Amino acid sequence: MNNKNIFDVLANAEDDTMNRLTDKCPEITDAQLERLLARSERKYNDKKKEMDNMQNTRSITMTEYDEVSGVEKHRPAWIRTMCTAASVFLALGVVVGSVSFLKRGTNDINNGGESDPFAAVSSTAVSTTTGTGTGSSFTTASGETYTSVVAVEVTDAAASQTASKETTAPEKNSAAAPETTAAANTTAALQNTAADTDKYVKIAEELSDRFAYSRDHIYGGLQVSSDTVEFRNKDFDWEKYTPQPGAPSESAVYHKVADPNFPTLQSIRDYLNSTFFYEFQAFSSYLDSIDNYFGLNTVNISSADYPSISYVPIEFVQQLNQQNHFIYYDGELYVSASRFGGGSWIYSDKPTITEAGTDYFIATRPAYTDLNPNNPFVAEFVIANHGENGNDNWLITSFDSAD
Amino acid sequence: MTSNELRELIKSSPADCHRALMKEYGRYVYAIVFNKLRNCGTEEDIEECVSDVFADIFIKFEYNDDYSGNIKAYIGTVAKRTAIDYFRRLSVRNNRTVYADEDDMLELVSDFSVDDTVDSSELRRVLLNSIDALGEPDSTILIQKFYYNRNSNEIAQAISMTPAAVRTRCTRAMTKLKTMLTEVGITR
Repeated sequence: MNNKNIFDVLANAEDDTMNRLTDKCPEITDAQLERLLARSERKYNDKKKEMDNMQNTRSITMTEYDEVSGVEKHRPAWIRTMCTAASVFLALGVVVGSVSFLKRGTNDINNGGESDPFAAVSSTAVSTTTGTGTGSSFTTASGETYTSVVAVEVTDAAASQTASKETTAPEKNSAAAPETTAAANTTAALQNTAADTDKYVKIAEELSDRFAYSRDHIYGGLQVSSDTVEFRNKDFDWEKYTPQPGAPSESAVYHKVADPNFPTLQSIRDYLNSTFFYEFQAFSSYLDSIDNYFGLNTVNISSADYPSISYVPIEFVQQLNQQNHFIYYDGELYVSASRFGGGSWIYSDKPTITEAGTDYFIATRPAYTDLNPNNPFVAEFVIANHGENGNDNWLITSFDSAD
Repeated sequence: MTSNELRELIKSSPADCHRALMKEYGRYVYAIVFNKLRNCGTEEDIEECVSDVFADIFIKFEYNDDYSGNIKAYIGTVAKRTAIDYFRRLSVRNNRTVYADEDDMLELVSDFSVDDTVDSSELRRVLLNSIDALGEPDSTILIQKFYYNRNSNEIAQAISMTPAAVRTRCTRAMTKLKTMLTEVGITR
């Protein structure tokens, strides 16, 4: 069953179906509204002019005795011949001009004329020399002088011309202990980034692997046993314990969690909290923490639409939007059968570091899902060092993925 | 907006009236036009058509002040007819016109089936009921993703979730929907 094909049947819908589709139609943004309004007003003004002209024409009434008078402009006969001659002359000029222009280009190359200088660049050499008296120099607060010259040589194969350019780059020519300068800082940061790329790749790989594992195994479906329990709707007072109006009509089926890594709900929360800052924290606008997301006996809703409900006094908890389907039943952890959705992430490559600072970096990683193998996307992780007192503690700060 | 309100507003300020009409019925008109043109037109075509609809409506309300009754129904009818005109024009542009001789015509006539039309209508009803049964926000996510062709970021913004959450919910909801449809015998 193709995802999009099945939705094609909604085309050419009847009125009642249209009303349902209109309810789910995306809101028109302010920018789109202004654009549509401007376009409609333009068309409206055009039509209005036409309508007004038509009404003016209709308002003219004539009888058979009315006289029509005016002056008809006379065009001399020779103007037609003149225009034809000018057109022919212009066309001939374009043809002759084009031919001569093309011919000139060919002659230049055949006669050893200049070729495209960009194509002739054969090599670029960059060298750094140290010394005083040449290039730019600057002095630090402690009186040390930094001078350097970078020569860039570009060789043109055809003309054997050499161009050199001097730029400054900080290099210390003194053996004394260096003071920190802005230029020295920049150099250190760049060198540091280059040296730490491997380290960043390893960190990004570990964290993104954990991200996918959590997403697929904890969020998507834990290892379960065949032991299941089923709660009928009538066994649970949905209206009393959930702020979501309207009870789901189906019964809820739960599988017993058999994953040895996660015997309790707390072990799942600990895993997520202890390893990295996970986007579950901001996963839903209704839920503000992993505790709430994975279900405690607390429903903490800040929305003005629903009153705050705390400590639901039952042995299992259902939360908003049918998301938090973990329950404790007979002292065992169960997970809702509806959580098994598939669509596991599969990374197709190692992470790539796209931006790096001293205490953060951005890594991207191509990924696809087994449900959608032909439509890969790029997962982007912003990873920052949250460690204190010189200790490293790299955590995923935010995550995004492009369609 | 009632016809009296509309009449008053158009007298006091046509520009304000146009804006008010666009704000109130823009989404409705867009949905109707999108429904007709989604398979043959671009987003640009759809917006062009929507602006045509509103230009017609503005003219109608300005030059014909004896309107009364259901404004929404009237706007819906104008939108539907304009969209059908656009559909024909776009179909021609996309070379979808088929020239048929008499033999082909017999086949074409026999292709039209009342049963099929009724089946499509029933299929639409079952599909929408199944999507509604998924609950919010899953139903909105599916419709916006697969019918309105919005990407995860746009949907996320609209329903105040993160793109990753939208993607995950979408995958899961689609799986549930397929199961539900398979249960009622829809497998295509």
